[in-house]
Amino acid sequence: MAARKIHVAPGTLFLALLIAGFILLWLPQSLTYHLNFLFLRVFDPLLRLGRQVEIEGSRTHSAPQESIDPAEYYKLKKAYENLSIQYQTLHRDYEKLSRIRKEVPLPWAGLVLAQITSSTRGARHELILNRGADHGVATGQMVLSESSDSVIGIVQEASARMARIRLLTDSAQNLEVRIRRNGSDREYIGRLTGDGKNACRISLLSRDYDIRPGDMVFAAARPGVLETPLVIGECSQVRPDDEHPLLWDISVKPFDDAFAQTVVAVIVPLTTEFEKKK
Amino acid sequence: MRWFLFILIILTAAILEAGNLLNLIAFGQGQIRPSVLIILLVYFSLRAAPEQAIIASFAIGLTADLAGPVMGPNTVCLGLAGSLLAQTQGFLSVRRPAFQALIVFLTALLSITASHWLAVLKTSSANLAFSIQISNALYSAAAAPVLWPMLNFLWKFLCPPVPGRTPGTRISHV
Repeated sequence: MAARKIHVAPGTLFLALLIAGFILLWLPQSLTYHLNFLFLRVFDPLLRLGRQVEIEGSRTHSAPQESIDPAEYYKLKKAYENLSIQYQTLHRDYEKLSRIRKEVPLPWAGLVLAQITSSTRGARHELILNRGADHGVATGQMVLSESSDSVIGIVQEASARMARIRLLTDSAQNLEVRIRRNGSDREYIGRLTGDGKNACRISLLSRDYDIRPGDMVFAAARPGVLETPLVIGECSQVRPDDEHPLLWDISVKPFDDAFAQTVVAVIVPLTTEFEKKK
Repeated sequence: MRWFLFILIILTAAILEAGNLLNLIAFGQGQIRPSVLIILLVYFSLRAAPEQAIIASFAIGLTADLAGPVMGPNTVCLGLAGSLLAQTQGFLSVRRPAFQALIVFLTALLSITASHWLAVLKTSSANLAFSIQISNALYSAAAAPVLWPMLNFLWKFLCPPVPGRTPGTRISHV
């Protein structure tokens, strides 16, 4: 018996599929992103192909010419800057505590180590991690480099077992930062955006501010996410903005190349649902 | 058309777009890459029967959405672009590599731009500079004449000729 063929007019077919497309577009992102994560999970091994070559390439290109081992230098520099700002924050807290009776805040966070399953280095700069909401990862949390000492991105979305990280170099990134010079108490507040390549920019800061190349850039503390600032990178270039000569156009070079990482750490506050369930 | 083989082809293209392999031939620190799915869209829209071309276009759009971060924009834009291209089968000749590149460039530029802005409407985050959109469209156009003979080869398996039927004018000019 011959199978019956259903014939639909091309116009009807087109309209039906177009309406289906618009429904998909209209559905909220919080519902549809599960499909994206499903695709990533199913094809994970295939998506990883080529990543190792990329990591090796970026490692060989990123070594600056220094008279001492650059990796060791940057490691020590990051550790020093983090300790320095933590010390200053603690010192400020101590001074406040000595004046007013105040309960010491809880130790602020745990770290969830996650493996990078794939990365996107095209129009978007993203990493896909193999840890998700089941491990306490949630939108807005900070992601640190493998050695857990500098911020490289922010969790954009998290499914049960996976998370999508928007890197600092992504051009859609927008993060509040503090700029501080070593040995100085003065700090400037700015907003950091990615340049879509391998650096970040800070604009809309008045040229009255004394900012110079080499000043350190920290991710600003945010209650529940980051209790003390953490280092991101350093100002690599400070020049007047071409369009607004009264403002600075600052280029920031992150300390860590996110695409050279294989494992990252997500800062998970203890107040998340995950911890409450425990 | 053998739809199972078609799905395998577009999934392979989606994996290439979402994964890291295309970065090996990318420019501009990985920002400028060819869009294999758009080349497939143009090819199938101009080669398949109208009903099949419409289904193929929306399927390619859906796959592009799955491989990206937002669901919906590519389904609408690539579906629309492919369906419109399918209507031009009678008078659009794409035998010459230059024409293939031109059509891929225009389709890529329009659909990448439109889907980007639809994604912005849905998620309120824009991250694609127009210069990069043009560069991606140009790279896709440059890659089209290279991929076209491969797709011609695959077409024999996708749509084997039925004995007693002639391929018709639509197929002969592609």
